[in-house]
Amino acid sequence: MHKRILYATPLLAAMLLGACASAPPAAPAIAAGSASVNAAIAGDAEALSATEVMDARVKLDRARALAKSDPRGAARLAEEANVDAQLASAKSRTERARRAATEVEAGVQTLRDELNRGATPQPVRP
Amino acid sequence: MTHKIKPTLTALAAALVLGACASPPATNPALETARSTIERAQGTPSAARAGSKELDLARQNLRQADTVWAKDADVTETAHLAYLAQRRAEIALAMGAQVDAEERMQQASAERNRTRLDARTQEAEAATRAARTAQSEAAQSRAQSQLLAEQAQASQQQARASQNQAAMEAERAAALQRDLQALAARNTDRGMVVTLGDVLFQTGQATLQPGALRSADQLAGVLKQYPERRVMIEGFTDSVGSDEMNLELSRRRAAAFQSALMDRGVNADRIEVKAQGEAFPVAGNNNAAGRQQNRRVEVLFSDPQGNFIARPAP
Repeated sequence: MHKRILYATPLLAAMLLGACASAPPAAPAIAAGSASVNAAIAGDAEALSATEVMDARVKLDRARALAKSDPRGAARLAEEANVDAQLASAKSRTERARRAATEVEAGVQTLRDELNRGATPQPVRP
Repeated sequence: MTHKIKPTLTALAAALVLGACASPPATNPALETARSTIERAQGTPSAARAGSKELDLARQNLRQADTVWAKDADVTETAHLAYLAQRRAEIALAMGAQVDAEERMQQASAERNRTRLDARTQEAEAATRAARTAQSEAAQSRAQSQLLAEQAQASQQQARASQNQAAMEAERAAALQRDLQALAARNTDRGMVVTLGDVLFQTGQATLQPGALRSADQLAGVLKQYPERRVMIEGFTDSVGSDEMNLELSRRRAAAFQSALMDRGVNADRIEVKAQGEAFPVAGNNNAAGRQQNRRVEVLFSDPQGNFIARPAP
């Protein structure tokens, strides 16, 4: 009886370790992915990168669903959701910067046009 | 049987594994796509700079994917790692594009400030120009009104001067009249006339009597005092005798008086001599008293400009 337990303990430990090595728990990856998705939504990335944000949310949902049954697959989905969300945020920031620059450039052009009109000789005063 | 088969199977499995290792796995499209995206990001300076951390992670993912693919040909894991590498390279590219846009924004802002400054400078210059124009216009109208005032003053002065001159001339003419009163001068239409009577000449002669010499003294004195005046000495006779004789006599008498004036310092060019003979009688020639009045010398004074008024025809 005692002997059996003694044999069984290292075996169990080995099994557990093996399980850890082959399939790490998905929780950290899901947490990281969730944080990136939340950041993307908070940064209003959905307005400009709706597809990427949607992809990320779908993958994160599937990761959560698979967390118990397929931790490895769940972790992969969460990691992919993480980069999808980060890309959505980055693209959305880029697009905003582009629009702002274009707006200012258009403003400069308008100002310069006005300046050129103003530079033409003024009508003679009566 | 089983004992014989076992090593055979083991050897077969080993051969399979070795074979798998020896022949390199076929290229994985997902891997190559990720690799080319990473290369593109590395070749984009702004992405390489701004997305350097993401690029590091992407390269790391790609290396892992390569390893997994080479070692295990695990399609799922390789695709997963390649996906991560691909996405991270894309994030790096997006970060670079963001930096590029922000730089454009900064340049445009600077340009906007410069242009605004230009606009303000232009406005200020226009205002300065307008002010300067107004100033010069004001100065011009000031100068013009000053000129007009000066002109008015000048013409006033001129008017006053000519008034003064006229007054002076009138005054002087009046003074001349007073001065000539001693010589019994008459103010006629032609001007002041002094008549030297017959008694001042010897009968039929042109020699001056002492009384005539006194008259010459007085006239010379007056002429010295009024250098602007000239005199015309006219000789006259009565109707006795021929016209020629009378003309000659009147000429000689006038000339005698001219000499007397010249002797007293009166310039020759101020004296004109005219022989009138028996013309222009002042009395009847039918009695002695009348004839005596007609025998005379008249001294006519010019106007201040030295001109004589012509005698109306007889």
